[in-house]
Amino acid sequence: MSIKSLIRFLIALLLLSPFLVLVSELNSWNHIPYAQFLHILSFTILQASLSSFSILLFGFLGALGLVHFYNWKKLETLLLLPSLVPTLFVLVACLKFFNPFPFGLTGIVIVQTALYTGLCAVSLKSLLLTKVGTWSELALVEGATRLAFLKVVLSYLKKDLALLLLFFFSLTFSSLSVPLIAGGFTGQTLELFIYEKIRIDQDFSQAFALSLFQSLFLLAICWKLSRFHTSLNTKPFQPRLLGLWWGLIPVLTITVIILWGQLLDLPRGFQDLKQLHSVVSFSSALLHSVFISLGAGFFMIFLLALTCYALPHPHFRPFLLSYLAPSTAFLGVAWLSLDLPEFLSPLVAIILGLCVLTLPLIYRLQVDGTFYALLPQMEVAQSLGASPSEIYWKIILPQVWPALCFGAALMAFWASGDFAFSSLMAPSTFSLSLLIKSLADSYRIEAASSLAWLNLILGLSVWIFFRRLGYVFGYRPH
Amino acid sequence: MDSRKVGLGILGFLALAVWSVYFYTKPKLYNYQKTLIVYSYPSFLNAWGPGPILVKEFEAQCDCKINLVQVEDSTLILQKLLREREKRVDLVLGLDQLHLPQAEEKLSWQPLSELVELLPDREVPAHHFFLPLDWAPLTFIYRKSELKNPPRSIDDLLKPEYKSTIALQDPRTSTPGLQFLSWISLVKKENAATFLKQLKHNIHSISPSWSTAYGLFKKKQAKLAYSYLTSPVYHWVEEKDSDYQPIVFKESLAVQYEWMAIPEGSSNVPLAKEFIKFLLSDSAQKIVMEKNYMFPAQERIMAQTPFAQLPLVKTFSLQDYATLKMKELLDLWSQVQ
Repeated sequence: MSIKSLIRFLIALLLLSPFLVLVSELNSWNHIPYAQFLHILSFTILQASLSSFSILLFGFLGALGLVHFYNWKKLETLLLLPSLVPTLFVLVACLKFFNPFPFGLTGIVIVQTALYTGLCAVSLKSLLLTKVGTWSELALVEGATRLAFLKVVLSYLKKDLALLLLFFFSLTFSSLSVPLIAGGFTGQTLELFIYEKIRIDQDFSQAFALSLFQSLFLLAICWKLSRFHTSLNTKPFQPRLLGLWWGLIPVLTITVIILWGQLLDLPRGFQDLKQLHSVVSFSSALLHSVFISLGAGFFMIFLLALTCYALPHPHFRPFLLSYLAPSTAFLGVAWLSLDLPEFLSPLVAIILGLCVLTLPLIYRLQVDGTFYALLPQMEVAQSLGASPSEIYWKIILPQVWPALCFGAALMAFWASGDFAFSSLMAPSTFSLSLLIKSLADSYRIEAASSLAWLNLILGLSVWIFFRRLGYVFGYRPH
Repeated sequence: MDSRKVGLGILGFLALAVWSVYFYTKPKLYNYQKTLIVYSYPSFLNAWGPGPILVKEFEAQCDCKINLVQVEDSTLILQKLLREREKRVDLVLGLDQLHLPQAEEKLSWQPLSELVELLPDREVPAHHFFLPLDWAPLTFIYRKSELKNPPRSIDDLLKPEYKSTIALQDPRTSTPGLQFLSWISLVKKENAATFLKQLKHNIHSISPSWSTAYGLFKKKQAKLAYSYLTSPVYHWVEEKDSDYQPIVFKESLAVQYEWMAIPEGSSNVPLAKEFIKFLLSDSAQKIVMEKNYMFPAQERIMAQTPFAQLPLVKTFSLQDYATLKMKELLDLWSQVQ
């Protein structure tokens, strides 16, 4: 077995490990209640489709706004904040803005849009900057109208947009808390069904079958998307034709409303935190959060770099593009049954688990497009006699490095705010996000809200750190 | 980019990872005769919860080491015990009564009959294998400045004046949510589904957790939240806010006990029993009451405390709860959906 094959095997094994662990423990197989399952599946698909379309629409507008102000780098980080704020605070902001709030399908779409539009705008801006740079310069000189240029850009980026849509479809498809809370009585999703099977029925065979179906379902709809290649353009960008200042209004409004609600809690929250200071070690929680976010970011770079080394491959790529990691509860139960948190320490277990949960998602967000855009260069280098090692170190890695760091930034950003998986692996005050959850669980909502600011600062710091890392060590055209 | 730098970076990261694995996995040495491994839930173990103080006090008395292991909730405690039968666990704190039938049926426990006499208050039930650490009835909490005419019976909840005011928890993801469903089922019996369908109009939101539902209530998005009867004490004591009040329904209320039990495989039963005795002592119970905001198992210690100002309510008994089947309750919820 070659090193590349071994790496492919190990990455696939790591990603599939939760399924393998649980299947090895199953003693009997029970049938899924099909009528209920089909009803739940149709609602899950509907809410994920509508949410992802809405996110993409407002995200695209936001991206045009970011392009207009493309020198204001801090705007980008500001828009990411809603995806790091605990869902409760996003929901409260939505409830205040939309009064009465339309609980149900519309409510789910609104909250998911509020959560992820900023992230979508930032990802799309990055895509626009790297892929249509030279054209914008040329189109401006040739006198193209904004509308005509936008049409061409949309047509050129349609596969990238489809991948991005898929990314947000995967995120919203596997969301547990938002459909529950914003969906009212209708909020029944496949993820919740799996959770119910694991936590209440303790029927791991049905949970296994449902999770497998969830992954295979996404695999089926993604298969076609895994067969396109795009080109990469890193020349200077001319924003005048694409920039649209008002595109930022919706996404900025969402961000401001959410953060404003958080700001109001600060004075009361600080009082509570001061009282707790004698019994809670905030510095230790902060330190663990720093370790978790940096560790997850670096480990993600490592995994993505290994993945790129093992590519291109006709089956491995479709697998990465279409595989949906199982739910947090599913992975948690699988790892708890292996006693991983005790064997590996909570810190390592959290980092490893979060990377397993997000590697395919992050890969398909930016790394895949960037990597496959390099195929012509790889072919030329190979025909000129370059060794695989030279191609990897001199051509692939320098050019995919910014994409790897973007993925790492995203991973680190999410890891700093994770509590769903962390709460299964670590004590309740282990990290900042767990501390926030624990405070909210014990009446101290304002203290949790205030501490969320510290978490936001941490999330943004690691985001900026990995983005800078991508810029500093990345390839720049001369 | 210099490939050597990247290579060095990756090596550095691997070295850091290996170091952290080593640092955290180096074996912890315990004197097993003097160590107690206790499974418990997060709010007991939080730095501001009763766990750390109680453990410190008990360790000072017994010259032993209490090793607290956090398990997310009562469901996971049971799952962990079922899956890890070979593993040493000396004491479990925090099983709720909805899981007692399953715990009794699927696992073996040390009898605690000789400790039952430590609970003289007849209000609090004791069990051959399980003893309560604390308890609280569940009801709706409201702000008296906001709701001048709170509901007084379960049917009042259907009144149009409470349209979109009730914050509930989903029974599939939250224990209070399951308690609400139990309550409706115990009161309304075969009419429970009809009642829940009628209640839909008055529900503001169904949250995945108690904290989200109560957070919405605290942020004044909802006017009624299903919570513990003892919840207002937090606001009275910590926030000096007497606006928060529990609703006294004319019907009996749902109740939640947090139980303690010793698994049969415990390797230090005498020490585990000593710890239970300590937890049921007046001084420990006072700490549990003040930190957990729940009624203590020893009711006598509530005198002269804000808990004594809470109204007296009727609650369903453990025998009533024994008639409930979790699967049927969740089917009821599905019907309503």
